Amino acid sequence: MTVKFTIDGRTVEVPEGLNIILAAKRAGIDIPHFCYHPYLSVAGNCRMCIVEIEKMPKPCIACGHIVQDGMVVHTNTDMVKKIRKGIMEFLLINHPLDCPICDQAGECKLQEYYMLYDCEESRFNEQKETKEKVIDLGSMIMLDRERCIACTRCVRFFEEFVGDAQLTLRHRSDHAEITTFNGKPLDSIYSSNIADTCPVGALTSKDFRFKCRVWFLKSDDSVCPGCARGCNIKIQHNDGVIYRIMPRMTPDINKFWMCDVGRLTYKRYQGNERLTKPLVLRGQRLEVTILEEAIEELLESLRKLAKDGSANVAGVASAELTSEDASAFKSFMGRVGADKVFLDQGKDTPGFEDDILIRADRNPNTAGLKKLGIEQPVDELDALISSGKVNVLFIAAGYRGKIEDIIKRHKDKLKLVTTFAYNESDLLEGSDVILPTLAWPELKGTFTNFERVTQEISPALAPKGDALSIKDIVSQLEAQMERKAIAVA
Amino acid sequence: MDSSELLEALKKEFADGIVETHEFRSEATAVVKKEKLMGVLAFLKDDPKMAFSLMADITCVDRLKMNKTPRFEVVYNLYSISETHRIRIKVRLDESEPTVSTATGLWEGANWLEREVWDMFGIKFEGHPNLKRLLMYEEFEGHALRKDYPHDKRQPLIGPKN
Amino acid sequence: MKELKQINTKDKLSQNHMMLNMGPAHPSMHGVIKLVLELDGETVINCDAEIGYLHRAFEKESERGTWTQVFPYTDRLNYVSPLINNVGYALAVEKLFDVEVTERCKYIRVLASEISRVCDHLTCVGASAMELGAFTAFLYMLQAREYFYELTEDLSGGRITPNYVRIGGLAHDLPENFKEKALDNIDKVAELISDVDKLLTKNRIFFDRMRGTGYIPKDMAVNMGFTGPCLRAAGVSYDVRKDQPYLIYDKLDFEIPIGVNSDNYDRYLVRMEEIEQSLNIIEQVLEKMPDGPINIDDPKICFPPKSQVYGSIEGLMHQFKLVYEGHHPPEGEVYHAVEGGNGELGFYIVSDGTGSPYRVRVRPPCFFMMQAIPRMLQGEMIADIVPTFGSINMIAGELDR
Repeated sequence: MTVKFTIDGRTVEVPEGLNIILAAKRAGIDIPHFCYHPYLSVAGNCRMCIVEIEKMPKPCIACGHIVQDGMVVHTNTDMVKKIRKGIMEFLLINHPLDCPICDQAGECKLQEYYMLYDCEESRFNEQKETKEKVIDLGSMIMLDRERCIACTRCVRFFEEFVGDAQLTLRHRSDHAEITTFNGKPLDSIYSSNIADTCPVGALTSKDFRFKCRVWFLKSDDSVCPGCARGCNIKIQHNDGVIYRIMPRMTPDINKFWMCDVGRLTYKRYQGNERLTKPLVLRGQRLEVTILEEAIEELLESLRKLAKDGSANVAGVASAELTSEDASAFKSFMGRVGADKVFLDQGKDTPGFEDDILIRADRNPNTAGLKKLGIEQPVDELDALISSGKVNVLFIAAGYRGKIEDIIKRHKDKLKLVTTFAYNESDLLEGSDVILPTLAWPELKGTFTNFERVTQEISPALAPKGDALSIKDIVSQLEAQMERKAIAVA
Repeated sequence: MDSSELLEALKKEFADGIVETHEFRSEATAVVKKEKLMGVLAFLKDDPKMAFSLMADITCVDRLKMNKTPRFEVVYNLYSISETHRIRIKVRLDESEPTVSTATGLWEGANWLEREVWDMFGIKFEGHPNLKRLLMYEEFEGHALRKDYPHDKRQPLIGPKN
Repeated sequence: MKELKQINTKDKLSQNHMMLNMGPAHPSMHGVIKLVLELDGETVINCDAEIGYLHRAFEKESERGTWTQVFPYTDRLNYVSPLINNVGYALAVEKLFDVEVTERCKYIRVLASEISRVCDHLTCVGASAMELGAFTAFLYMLQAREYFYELTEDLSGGRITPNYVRIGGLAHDLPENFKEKALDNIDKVAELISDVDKLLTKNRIFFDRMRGTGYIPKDMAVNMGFTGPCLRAAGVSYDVRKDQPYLIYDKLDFEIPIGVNSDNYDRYLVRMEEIEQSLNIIEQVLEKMPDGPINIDDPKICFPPKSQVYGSIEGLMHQFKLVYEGHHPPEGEVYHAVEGGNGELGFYIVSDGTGSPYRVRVRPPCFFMMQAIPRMLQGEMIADIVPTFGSINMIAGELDR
C-alpha cells in the first residue's frame, strides 16, 4: 500500500505508515530533528522537526505525524524557518562553550543545525545555568549534564531496546537532567549505544574520549568479528590506527545498535603483539626470516617426514577466518594429505548470550566454515595426537584458540607445527614455522552469520609488515610445491 | 568580445569539433574534441578577431574523485593581449590513452607547461620536443597530482623505500 | 631592433665545447636552479635549465585542507610579495562564490598588494645590482624594503608570511596610526630610491653590463608567455591592473611604464618606474580609503569576530564549523588573474562543492621567464648570465611551487 503526498510542491508516492521525516527523506528532503530516532518511539520534545501541513491550524512536528493520502507539507516556509531559529536559540541558551574540549564537535547536531538553520549571533547576556560535568556512568560512558538538551533518546533506548530502564530524566525545564537511580553506574553491555545516539556531546564513550578529532577519521564499512551475529559496522580509523567501531544501520540484523563487547574487538588487532615477520625455529630459538625462506624450510622438513612415511597431517582452522581463507586453507590441507580440518571456536566460546544481539558463539564465521565442511571440533584432536595418529599440524589461528592448550600439552609428540597467525600467543612456543597473516581490519572476504546471512568485509587498514592473507600464503606454498614437485603422503 | 560572443564565434567555426560549452561567472569554456584541438587553438591564436596571443596556462584536472569519465581534462587558459578577453579550452582524455598533440608549435611557452602536466598527471603530448619530467626527478614513480597518488607517499631518492 | 645572436657551429674551434654546471650551489642561482651550459670559450652556445629543487607540492597539499587553509601556502609561493598571492587566491575563491567584498576591504587589499609589489621590485633590483658588485645599492634597497616590511608587519603581524587575507574579507582591520606611518615610510623609501637611481642608472659599469644583454624579441616574449615587467620592458603594454581591472584599480590614477629595447637595462628601468607608480597608488589609496566593515555580511563565508568566538556558543560553533568543515562553494571552475610582482598571477580553481578545493592550480609568472632563459642566454657571455638571471626575478617558491 502506498500513499501520495505533496512536499514542498513535489508529489511523492511512499509506503503507508511512514512519518513525515522518513517520507521526506525518500523525497530527498532532510528535516532536522534531535529527539526522533527511527528505531525508538516518538517523543516529540525537541520540536526541531516542525513543518507546516495544509489544513492544520498550527505547525506540526514531522516525527509525530504519519503521512496521509493527499497531505500537503511545507518544510521551507518563513514560519518554519523562524521556528527552527527560535528552537536553536533556546537550545543554545544554556549550552556551555565546550566545542574545543568536546568529542562530539564535528558530528554534533547542534553545530550542524546552527550552520544550516540559525547562523545568528547570541542575544543572551545573562549567566548560563551550570550543571555537573564529567559524571562517570559505568565502564563505557561519561555524562556531561551541561551539554544535554534533554531529548531523552538515551532514556528511551534503555526502556525500549535493552528493556531495563536504567536512565531517567529528573527535574523540570532548565533544571532537567539525565540520571541513573541513585547515581548507580550503568550496567548493560549495550550502554555505548547511547553515546552514538546522543545528538550532542552529553554522553560520550570513555574508550574514544579525547583520542581523535572526528573530522580526521576515515570510515570503512565492515562486519563485527565479535560474535556470530555479524553486526554491520563502520571501522573509523586514521593513519593506520582504529579509533572506534560504530554500528551501521541494517534493518534485518542489528538495526542501529551493537554491543560493547563487539565495540572493543578492534583492540586485539592493533597491539604490539601483532606478527609482522615470518619466524622459523632453528635449534632452540625462533628466528626472523623472509617468507620465501620460511616456505623453503617448511617444505624441506615436510619432505623429510614424508620420506620416512611417518607424517600424519591434520589442519586446524579458527572460526575467525573468512570463508575465502578457510576454503583456500582446506584445499591446501587436502594437498598435503590431511583428510580432516578441525574447527577451533576459541576459548571464549561459549560465552554469555542474550536474546538481544550477542551470541554465545564468539566467532564471526562458524556457519561459513561449517558450510565448507570444516565442522569437527578441535577437542577431538587431543586424543588423536596423544595416540600418535596426528603428528604434523597446520594451524590457521584466530584469537585465543583452544589449540593453544592442546599444543602446550603435546609439545613433544608433534613433529612439525606450522602456524598462520596474526598475533603473538602461546602458539609461538610450540610452533616450528610461524607465518604472519592479515587480520580482520586488513582483510577482504565474507562472513556468514548464525542466520546463514553472508556479508562482506572490506579492508580498512594497510597490511602490517610482511603479513599476507592466508589465501596468498597458501597459494605461494602450493606454487613452491609444484616447482619442487614435492609429494607428501 | 564577451564570453558568449566568443563561444558563438567558436561554435560557428567548428560546428562539429565542440563537445560542449558553458559560461560560469562570465568565463567562457569550450570542451573540444581531441582531434580538433590543434585546429581550434590555431584558429584562436591566428584569427584577428580572436588574437589569443598569450598561452596563459596549461594544466590538467584528474576527475577520478568526481566519478566522471573520461578521467582527464587538459585545460588551456588563453588570453588575448590586444582584445583583452579570455577563453578556456578543454580536451577530455581517457585513462587508457592519455595522449594529446602538443601546442609547442603554436606557443613556445607551452613547452615547460606540457612537461609539467606530463610530470604531474602522466599526459603524453605527441610531438613535444623534450617531454621529460620538470619538477620531479626522472626516477620518480607515478604522477603526483593524480587523485590516486597518496599525498603522504614517500619516494626518497636515497635510502629505503616505503 | 637587434636580432638574436646566431651561433656558427660549423666553425672548427666551436667543435670542442665545454659543459659546465652553474648551480644549484652557485650563489646567483639562489641555490635552487641548475643551468647546464654548453660553452665555447666564454660564449654560451646552449643552455638547459633544471628546476624543481624547491618543489613543495603546493597544488597537492591544497587539495587536502579546507579552502581557508590554502592561504598560508600561498604566502610561500612568491615569498617576496606574499600579499598579492593572498589577494589573488581570495579573489578567485570569491569569484567562485560570486560575492564581492566591501569597499574598505578592496582598498586595503590594493594597499597590501602595492606594498608587496614594491618589496618585490626592491628586492629584485637590489639583489641583481649586488650580483654585479653594486653592494651599496643593495643595502639601500634592503633598507627601503625594511620600511615596507614594517608596514606589512603592522598590517598582518608577519613580515614574510603574513597570511592576511581571508575569503570574503581580511584577518583584521588596519592598525591605529597606520596612515601616518605609511606616509612617513613612503617618503623615506622615495628618498632611498632616488639615491639608488643616482647610484645605478647612469653608472658606467652597471649600464654596460645591463644594456643589450638578456635580449628577447617582443614577439618571442609574447609567444613564450611573458607577462609583467619583463613583457613591458619588451614594449608590450599589458598589465592586469589596467587591462582587466580588479578591486579598485580602475578608480586609481597610475601609469604603466613600457620599455623599448627588451634587455636587462630596460627591465631595470621598468621596475624602478613601477616602484614610483606603486608608491603613488599607496598614497592615493590611503587618501581615499573609506570607513566601513572589512568583511562581507555572510556567516556562511566570513569567520565570526573573536569576541563572539570566545564569548558565546553561537560564535564558537560558527568558528568550529568553518574551520573543520570549511566553506562550501558551488561546483564549478574559475580562473582569476591578478598582477603579481612578476606578471600575471592566475589561480585556476576547481570545486566539487565540498569543503576542500578539488584542484588549485597557480599560474606562476616567473615560470615563463625562466623557461626563456636558454633563449636569452644563447650567444651571450658567461658574465651576462648573472644580470639576465637577476633581471627576470626568478622566485623559486613560485617557480617550483
